[in-house]
Amino acid sequence: MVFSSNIFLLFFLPIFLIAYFLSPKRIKNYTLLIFSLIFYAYGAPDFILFLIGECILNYFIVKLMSKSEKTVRKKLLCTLSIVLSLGMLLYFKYANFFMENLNAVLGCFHRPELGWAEVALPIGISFFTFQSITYTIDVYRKTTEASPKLSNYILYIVMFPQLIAGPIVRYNTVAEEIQNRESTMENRVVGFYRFVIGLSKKVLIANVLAQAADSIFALEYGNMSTATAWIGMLAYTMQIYFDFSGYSDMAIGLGMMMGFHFPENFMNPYTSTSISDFWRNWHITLGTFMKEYLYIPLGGNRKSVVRTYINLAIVFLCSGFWHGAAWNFILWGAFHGFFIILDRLFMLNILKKIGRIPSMLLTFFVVNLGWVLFRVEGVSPIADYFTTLFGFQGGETISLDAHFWFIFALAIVFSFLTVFKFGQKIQDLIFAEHYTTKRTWIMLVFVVILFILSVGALTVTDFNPFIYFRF
Amino acid sequence: MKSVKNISFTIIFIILMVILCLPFFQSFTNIFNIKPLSGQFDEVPAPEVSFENYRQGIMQKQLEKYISENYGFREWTIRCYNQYLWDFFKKENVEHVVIGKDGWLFYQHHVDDYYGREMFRWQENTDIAYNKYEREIRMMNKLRSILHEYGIEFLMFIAPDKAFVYPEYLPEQTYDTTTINARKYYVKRLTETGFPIIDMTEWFIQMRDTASFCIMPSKGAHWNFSCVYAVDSLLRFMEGLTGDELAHIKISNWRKATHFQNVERDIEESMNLLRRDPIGKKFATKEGDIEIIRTSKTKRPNVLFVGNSYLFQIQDYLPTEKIFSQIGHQYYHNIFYDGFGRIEYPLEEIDMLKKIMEADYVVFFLDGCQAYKTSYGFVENALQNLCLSKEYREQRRAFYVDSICHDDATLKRYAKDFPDMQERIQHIGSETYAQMDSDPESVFSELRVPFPTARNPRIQDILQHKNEIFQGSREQFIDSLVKATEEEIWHKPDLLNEIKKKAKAKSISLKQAVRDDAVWIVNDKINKELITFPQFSITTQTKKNEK
Repeated sequence: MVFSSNIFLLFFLPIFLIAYFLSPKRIKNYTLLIFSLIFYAYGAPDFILFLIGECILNYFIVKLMSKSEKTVRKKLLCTLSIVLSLGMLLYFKYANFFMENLNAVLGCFHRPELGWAEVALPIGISFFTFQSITYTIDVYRKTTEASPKLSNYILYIVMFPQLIAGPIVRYNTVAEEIQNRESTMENRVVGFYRFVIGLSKKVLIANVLAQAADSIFALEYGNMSTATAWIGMLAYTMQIYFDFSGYSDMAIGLGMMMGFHFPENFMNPYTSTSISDFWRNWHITLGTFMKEYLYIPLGGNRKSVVRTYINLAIVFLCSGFWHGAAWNFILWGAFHGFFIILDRLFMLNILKKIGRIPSMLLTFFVVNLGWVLFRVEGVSPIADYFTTLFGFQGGETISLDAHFWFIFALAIVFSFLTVFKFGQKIQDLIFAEHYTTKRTWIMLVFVVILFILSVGALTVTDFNPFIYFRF
Repeated sequence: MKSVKNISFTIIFIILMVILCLPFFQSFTNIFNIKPLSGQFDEVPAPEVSFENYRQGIMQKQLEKYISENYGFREWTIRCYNQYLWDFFKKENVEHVVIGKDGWLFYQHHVDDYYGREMFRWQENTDIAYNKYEREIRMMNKLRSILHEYGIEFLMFIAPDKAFVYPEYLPEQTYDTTTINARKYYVKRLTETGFPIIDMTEWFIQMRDTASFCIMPSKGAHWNFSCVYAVDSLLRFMEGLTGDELAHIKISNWRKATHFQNVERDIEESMNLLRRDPIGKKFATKEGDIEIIRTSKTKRPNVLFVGNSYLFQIQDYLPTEKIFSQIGHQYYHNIFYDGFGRIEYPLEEIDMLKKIMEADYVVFFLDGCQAYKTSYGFVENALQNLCLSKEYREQRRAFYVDSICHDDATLKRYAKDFPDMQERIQHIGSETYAQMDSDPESVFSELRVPFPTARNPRIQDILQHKNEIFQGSREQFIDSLVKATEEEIWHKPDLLNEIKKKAKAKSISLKQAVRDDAVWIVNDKINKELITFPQFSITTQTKKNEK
């Protein structure tokens, strides 16, 4: 079940909200837990027991670890917990990829292929695995206490607003709120507004761009015109941003309604002035995770310069690979890692010198090229697409209607609005945690219109992809 | 101040929860009456609940589809979204609708017809199209000659095609000049062969600039009040063929059209918007009061129409029961609409030979786009029906299919696609039957001659009954009419609902209320002289004497 579906919006959500708000405070967590399990069981019936089992196992390992006095024992249990979580992720997400590649190598040496039954990917495994790792490591580092109750830990992992597509919430961020939280009427209203804004970003913007992007990326890359290739790339760039940030807004909004404060995941990433800056603004919770739980443990920048670059390369290769078990994701990670290293070498100085707007445009251009690697599967098609992008050739085009162009322009305006002061003001007004009474009433009208249009759009068109769902 | 803010948030939260929960409650209670959507929709079945379906995700997909098709206020949310697309982007969400200039709407097939592409929807190439039209024209002439023997006129009436009458509002597209335009071809060739044909398209093209209103609706697919003129022309044309004196139509009290907006905006209606687009003065349509002028010599003919939905508008705008004594309408979806009440029957339930022989005129009634489909099998069926008995036809067809199914060359040809012999024979059989239906001349030598002389023996039986004297009195005849009307009412759910309300109000049984209404309808028709009485075998006097 995704948030942008009629079954969620018109059945699951109202039933849940009624049940949740009518529940006495002491059983609110259980209500949320039950609905979260139903939410997961609906989409992944075969994996619900696996998810609960992993949670229980990890909870007790970490509990043992937290009580352990001996450092070696502690380390062993921490390793066991991480291996368990990562092992599951590696098996479910990457086993098929490894076997395909292994068989390809065997094929090169004329050896028979190894038999292999395809492994199905449990929904949201990339997100809940990372969350359980943050819990283990935070408890190990004593950044936070181990959860006193198993149900609270399971709730942290399976809480439906962030279960499937993040944001990746560190345990210490919500530990206090799981045990004791306040959900004011303002929280509920503002949270609902945030949810609907996210929903409309996804349904009314991203889905429209996705249709055009899908049509263009379905063309023969060698035969399409350069203009079409650019439109396709830009449409996808906007689609992935509004798709994923919309989903994050929905998650944050739902959390807010219940009194949770999930971390922000996007901060106008396309206005970034360097790739390093981009990663501070794009999928922030993943960036934070990679920094805190991979880059720093690898040594960060505390060792030699060369080691720092190697660490950065590892982090970005892992980051790419986390997005999907395919070579294009690894390439995408490597591409970003390369530019991060360039930033450290000299690029940041150059970008500083050329000024804010040119550096922003240059960064946006590099990010766009990166999305081609992300979207196109296979090295040869990627090469074809880049050749067309810079080949200045005529060729196949697709007709795009006023609807697409308007939404495309709107997406660009929204993406770059905060470059200007008034844009920043607008954003602060809309995404504020506290609203004035007048603004709340005005927003109500917009939110209701956006909600009705989104539900209408979901009903009218079957086209409703969600890019990060598969991660 | 703080408490005002808190109250505001509480009220807004309640409003939001109500908005969120309303569709859920409406789904189960249907307490609000929501205008249904226009168009045809496939009903989505309820999900099949089973553990296996759930595990495989089948049940979830079915459930999501079911909910998407059935949630409360669905129609309204769709209309809202469509209105948003329409207002901001002039985009519609309906298949086959083309947005023209100045807010004009067209159906795709009309645009394709104008630009010469429609032929390819029905025929692979011009050679096939040419052969098909020629065969049809040949058979139409044969049918006409047969019907003429029995005093039945067979003619063709082509309703105006909006794209041809107002082409300046079509979107600019390129013409395909290599194709055959079915309408133009039929008009040319049928005229050459002496077949009576009246093409309203050309007449409307001439009339459009002199008319005081837009003679085709800018937001509709069919026609508007202008169809009244077309019917008058049709009646005069029919008079010219037979010498019968038929009704005249007088129009007075012209005014801005307000009735039948659903008819004049049927394309727009199919777009399922929240509100109708305003139509400027330039494209406004008019309507007037209609008076049917009849004298004692005026004949009300029984007409069998074979055609498409253009006829529905005629029935909407005109009191057709004052012009015709009876009408039947073979619709192209294998449906037959019987009588003025348009009672719907599947075509196979209709005794078409009887319908043909009872008619005074058979009018092949269609627009240019429909001409590509030829006569929907009517001419082919009618020829077989008129010339050959059912038993003979079945026997001959079975023999023909049998010989083809056992032809080695044919069996070999289908071996690859149908390795199983039983399946192969079945496929060849059904293909052969379909082929025979579209080209009966290939099976029945009786039909190959220019003027077939073979006749179905049933014709005589039907003709005997056609002019027979009613066996009974005038009262019995009226009673039979009342019974027929009662039957008609039971088949019309809308009317029946109205009568149910009346029955409840009067505290009488529904059966009694239906009877009362039927009596009223028949008496009304008698008063308006809409019923032609036959000769009766029993006069009221004799009947009284008998008693």
